Amino acid sequence: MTTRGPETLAFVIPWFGPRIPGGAEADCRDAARALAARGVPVEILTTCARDHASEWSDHHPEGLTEEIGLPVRRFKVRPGDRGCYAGLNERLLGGEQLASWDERDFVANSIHSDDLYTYLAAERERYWYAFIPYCFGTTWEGVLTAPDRALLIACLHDEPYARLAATERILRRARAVCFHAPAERALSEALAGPAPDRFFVVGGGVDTGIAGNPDRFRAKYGVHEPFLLYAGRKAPEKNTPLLVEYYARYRVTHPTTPLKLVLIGSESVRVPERLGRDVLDLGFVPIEDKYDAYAAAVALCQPSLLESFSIVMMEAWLCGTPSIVHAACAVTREHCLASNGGLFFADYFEFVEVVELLLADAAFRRALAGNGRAYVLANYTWDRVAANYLDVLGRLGARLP
Amino acid sequence: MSESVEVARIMEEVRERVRQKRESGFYSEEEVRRITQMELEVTERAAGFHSEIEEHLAALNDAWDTAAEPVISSHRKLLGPLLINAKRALRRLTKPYITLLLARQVEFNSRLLRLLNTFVLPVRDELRDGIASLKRKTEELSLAVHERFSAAHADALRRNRELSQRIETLAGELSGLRAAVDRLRVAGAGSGATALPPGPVVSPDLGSLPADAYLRFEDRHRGSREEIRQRQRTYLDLFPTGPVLDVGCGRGEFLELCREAKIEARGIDTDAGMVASCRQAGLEVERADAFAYLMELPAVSLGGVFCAQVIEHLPPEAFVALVRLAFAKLRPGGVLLCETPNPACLTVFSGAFYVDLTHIKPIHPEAARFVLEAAGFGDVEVRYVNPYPMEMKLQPLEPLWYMRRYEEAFLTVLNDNFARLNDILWAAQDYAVIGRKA
Repeated sequence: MTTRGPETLAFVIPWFGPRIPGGAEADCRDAARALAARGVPVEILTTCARDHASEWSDHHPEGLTEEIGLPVRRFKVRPGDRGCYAGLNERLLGGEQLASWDERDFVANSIHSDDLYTYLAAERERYWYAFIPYCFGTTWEGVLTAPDRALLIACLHDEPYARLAATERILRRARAVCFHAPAERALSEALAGPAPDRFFVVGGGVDTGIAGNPDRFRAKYGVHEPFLLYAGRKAPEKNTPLLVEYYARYRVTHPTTPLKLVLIGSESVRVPERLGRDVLDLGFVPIEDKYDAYAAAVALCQPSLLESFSIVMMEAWLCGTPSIVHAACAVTREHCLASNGGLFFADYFEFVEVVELLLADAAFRRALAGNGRAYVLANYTWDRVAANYLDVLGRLGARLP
Repeated sequence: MSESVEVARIMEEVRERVRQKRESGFYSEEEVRRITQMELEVTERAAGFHSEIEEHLAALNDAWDTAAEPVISSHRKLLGPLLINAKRALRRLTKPYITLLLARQVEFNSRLLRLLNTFVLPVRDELRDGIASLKRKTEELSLAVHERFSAAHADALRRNRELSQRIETLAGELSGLRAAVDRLRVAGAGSGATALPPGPVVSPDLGSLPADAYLRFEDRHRGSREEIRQRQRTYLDLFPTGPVLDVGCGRGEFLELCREAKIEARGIDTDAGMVASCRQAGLEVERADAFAYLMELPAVSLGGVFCAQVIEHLPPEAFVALVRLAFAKLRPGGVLLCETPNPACLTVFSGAFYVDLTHIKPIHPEAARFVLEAAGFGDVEVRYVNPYPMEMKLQPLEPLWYMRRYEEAFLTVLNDNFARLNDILWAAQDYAVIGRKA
């Protein structure tokens, strides 16, 4: 028997870049760097596509480069019918149950790279592949290319993509599935059945060294009133319109309130004209400004129902601000209850009560945020999460140095 | 963790406060309705347009009568009744003038509202019905498409069954043929015509046909000289040194190749026409029976024995004898090559094999290997040659984009079956068994 060298952990992601927004994209960058810093040989395997929002075609040259200190191998994108994908995506997000042949077209016209799959199959002996996130072609097909070497970092939400047969297949076939939170694991069990020897909650890592300066934010953006903060992509699937509607309603029922709503992040949401001066959409801001915004806010409001981890809650807590989340999102609600660091609402009336509670009492806000901070430091430091990943890899028999 | 903050308890309190407020009428029914509806508008984006129309229309229907009697009230406790009386008096005084002014406005409002009432909702409903009917039609269309595919599927299944039946029939006929061949062989053995060597003289027996008949037969069925040269060229490398004996040299293609490659070679054939043709081409060929000829040769004198399309003309025992003789006459390192039709390819039996009256028995490649090994040859190799062109085989069916998964699965099975049939029906036409004397 020959002794073989140490194996490499390769993160397989549809696109990779230092500034691509998105939870999974950021998680991939941070997890790869954290594990590399702890001596694990790490690579990124991805396509030549630029990002989710751009056309899925060869933007970057193929081949090996080094980016943010990591070896990155890019492979050519398989041409696909993006119109077909977009049409089916709209139907899927509109709540339609796709027929099997439509689902097949949807999956086939997602982002793929045949060269990547050839590489995954040919080099499987020397790699462990960590596929992230679950809802793109590179994962749906890549996992099946080398299931015995596949870790799936699912980033699973309760959304239409989660109920595709392609998703169930990879949840069943991957050698191990890593989750950011127990609620995400519970969803996965509901979709694909329990698998205690393959499903692991590893958590999500957070950069715990961050801090914000509230005064700097107020001065730079001229926001001197108390405000609720929304941070992230503004989109119907993130439930941003609900927050805007609730805020609009709150302005009507509480005409003298000084409370504003500040939105930061990519894309946009429709804001009623009469709220022009009360809703501030700052767009994509520098990262320091984001931290400053957390620190200056009354609360971070995360109305999304589709969170597998929600790093913005963690960041807000680290910057001294509590969170308000939607009661129907199991993951974020679980964070609030487990940490005693945030409140949640199931409808508008509860939203009002929760906002009033927080507005009225700064000490209460500080106490909540303090609890949240302690929760992050206890569970979601990179030391902790990297150790969890190494533990999973160890159980699979990976030969890592 | 701060002791005083317990989120679960706080949320209980929040829910309780909301419940109490709603029960006490803090939120009016109208307010609750609008708020609840607002949430619907957010979650069901498409519905927003319709409910908004209804809401505006309802509000207009409430407010059209601008001349209606207003409710006169006051929130002041002591002065209230006094103020109300004063307001009523004022109202009575001004009413005729205001009514005069408002009459035309009320008339305009009511007409406009009637127009809206007769127009907006029916148009909206028509739109809604139109959408519903479109949806229904789409469903019907999808059903029709489904049915058509089901029919195609059934048709394909039927054709597959027919094909299977035809193959079974073919297989039955084949085993019948095999039995007939066996019976003939047994009859032949009984007559003593194929007694064990050194006695037998085996030759293609064409009865009273003219001397050049087999030559003409070969010209028609064996393939052109150039084709045969092309095929046999691949064997040249196996015979680096002579002398090579070509047993059953036929038209002498391999001898020509040897001459061009400067390898010493000569040939024997029992057919006078073939021998004459070879000699005309300047090749060293004798008319001789292979067994007699080989027996005459000194032992360990040949570099190679080449024997293409011959052994199927021999009864099995003669084949064994030929191999043993060749082994005896080859020098160490010498090579015996026998090329023959491949019986593992069934199409051979509907064509190449039985087209030649002088063929006696097909020899299975593994039987040939066994015979060579038993005779003492080492490194025995079976090389499959002369494949059928792809276009002669059953062609795989391509999946179409609109096929369903089970139809694709069906296609995979069908193509799998095609591949298996191709392997049996159109395997390589011939094989060469090659043995080396250690």
